Amino acid sequence: MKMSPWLLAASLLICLPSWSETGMVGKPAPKVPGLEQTSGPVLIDFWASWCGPCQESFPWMNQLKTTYPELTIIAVNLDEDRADAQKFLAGKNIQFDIVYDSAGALAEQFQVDGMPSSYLVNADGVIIEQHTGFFSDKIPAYEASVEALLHNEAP
Amino acid sequence: MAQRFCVCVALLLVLPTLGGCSSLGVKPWQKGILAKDSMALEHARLQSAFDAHIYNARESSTGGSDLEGGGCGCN
Repeated sequence: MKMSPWLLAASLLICLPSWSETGMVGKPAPKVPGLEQTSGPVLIDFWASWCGPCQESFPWMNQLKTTYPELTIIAVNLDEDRADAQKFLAGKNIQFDIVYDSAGALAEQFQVDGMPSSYLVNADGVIIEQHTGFFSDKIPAYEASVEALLHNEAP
Repeated sequence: MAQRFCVCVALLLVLPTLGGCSSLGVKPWQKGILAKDSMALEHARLQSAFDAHIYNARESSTGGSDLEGGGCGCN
């Protein structure tokens, strides 16, 4: 059966919104506690204590903060029970801010589609990059984008 | 012509429902309980792989758990 071009166009139009839903890049970052106090670039990371890759990303984020002190890192915890997060954080020398969002309201606003999810926000409050998951072999790429952001922000 | 129009309208009405269930279900951050060890379908992966290996080695000659016979229904 030959497909009507109108039908094809209509189905494409219907599918388009679902594609654009996945990307937050280019959109202003929703309000996160702690974000409004900073004027520089921010890395927002959504994590939970039960998520393996999130746990793996913590030492890296600590090291990132040490290497780039001018980068603000906000780790949004999505554990339903805050005690689980605090148990995970206990004894770890965390160098960045932790925000608790047990109801997932922030995650909903950021359209988090996997754990962990991270967002790089520039000084204008616009999300310039979004990553889902944490892969150790992609660390050089993550650091390159942070560095690029910091260099662009420099006066 | 009218029939074709009806088919097109019907298809247009059905198409939006294709993605209808994509927004339902568990959100990524709500999978904490599912991630617990006790929620795993098999508690010892190595043991399960070993059992499967023995089972396949023993049963492969008769077609294992699948129906791999010649179609005569005699085995």
